[in-house]
Amino acid sequence: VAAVAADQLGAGPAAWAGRTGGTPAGARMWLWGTVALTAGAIAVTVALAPPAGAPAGPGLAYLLFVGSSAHVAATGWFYTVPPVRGQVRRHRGRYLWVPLALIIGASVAAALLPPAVLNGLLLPYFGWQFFHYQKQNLGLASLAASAYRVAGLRPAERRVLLAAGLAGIAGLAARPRLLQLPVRSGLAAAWPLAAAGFAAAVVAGLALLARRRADQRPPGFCAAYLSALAFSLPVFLFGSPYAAVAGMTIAHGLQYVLLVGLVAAGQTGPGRGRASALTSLAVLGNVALAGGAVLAAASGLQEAHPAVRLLYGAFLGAVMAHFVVDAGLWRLREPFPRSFLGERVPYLVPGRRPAP
Amino acid sequence: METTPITAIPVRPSPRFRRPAFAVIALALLPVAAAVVFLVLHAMGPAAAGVTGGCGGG
Repeated sequence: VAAVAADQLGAGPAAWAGRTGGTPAGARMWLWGTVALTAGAIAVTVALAPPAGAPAGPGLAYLLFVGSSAHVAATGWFYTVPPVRGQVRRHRGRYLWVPLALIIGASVAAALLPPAVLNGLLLPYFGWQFFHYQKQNLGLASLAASAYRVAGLRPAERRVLLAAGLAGIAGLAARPRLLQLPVRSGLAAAWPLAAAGFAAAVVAGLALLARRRADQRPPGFCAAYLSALAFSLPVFLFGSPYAAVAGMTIAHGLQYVLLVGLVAAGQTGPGRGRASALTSLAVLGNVALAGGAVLAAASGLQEAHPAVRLLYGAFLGAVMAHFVVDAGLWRLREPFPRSFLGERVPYLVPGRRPAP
Repeated sequence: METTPITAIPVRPSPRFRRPAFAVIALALLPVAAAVVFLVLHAMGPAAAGVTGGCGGG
């Protein structure tokens, strides 16, 4: 999802300027569904957040399962799609060897390293995870521009979205207890700087949005852009780890599951009708649920015997593999993702027109 | 004389014939997968609800 933005950057704003014709209904449903899931996930999590020191209830556990393990496992569905398998064969490095190396390397590290050292390594790991979140938000904002046929994100607009995400990561590094990590990062003094950076990015983002021509900032695009801009806000608003972080985890996963679900349902070609789309969705559901169950079980082995902790490392490696695979499959600047997604979700990824 | 290479002979039924059975199996497995999720999360208890999905030490 993250690399969807790259396409817009590659095409340039001019390629889309003036294309303000009717937005397909599918695009509107996806966009408002994404915005509602993002805001709803954060609001529900804040409402369900347990008091300090208390365990979360089953409702949050299920939401976190969908938002974390199941959405990571859903990436495995792509490997069941013949055209994607062809792409995997053409790019074995990104889609096969690097994911395998991450899983094996993290497994070995988890088994061999003392828990204290492993906890220290989790901080940069989460930095990567939350950067991945913001790259997805950036991609969704770009996809919203594409779907609404307005000018793609300009470099400055992209930079403030990334800056807001990086400020959120800095805030988490300053307060690792928000990630439930029992480590001291030594960056506590950076908290005010991170908060100020986030505020500055939000103000700059609002100013950039206001500078767009009125016909280049329809409500749907604005909602997507603002939800991406403010995604890290809970980090700076709440002291509870659940209220501050779990909502972002759930929102990110739900955004992903919705989009991958649309891709799975978007079957094309002769003989591919509703039954085929239903089959594809069922396979996606099975992969996400079964794979998610395996990942969730492994994620709870952090403090197990070193030989068993290997599975916890495999979980971390699988999540990192998801980051790497995802960054390639949605890179619309490249021909395969553009044609694959253009066929599956044409209302979101229309054929590119040459710049005037 | 033109010949047909042996590799061109279809050895698998058309996807159109295989799909209905596959769809039934895939749909039938969904509740099983959901039950597995329920059992795993139930067995994990509060550990399943780490803020980042279990790996935050929650």
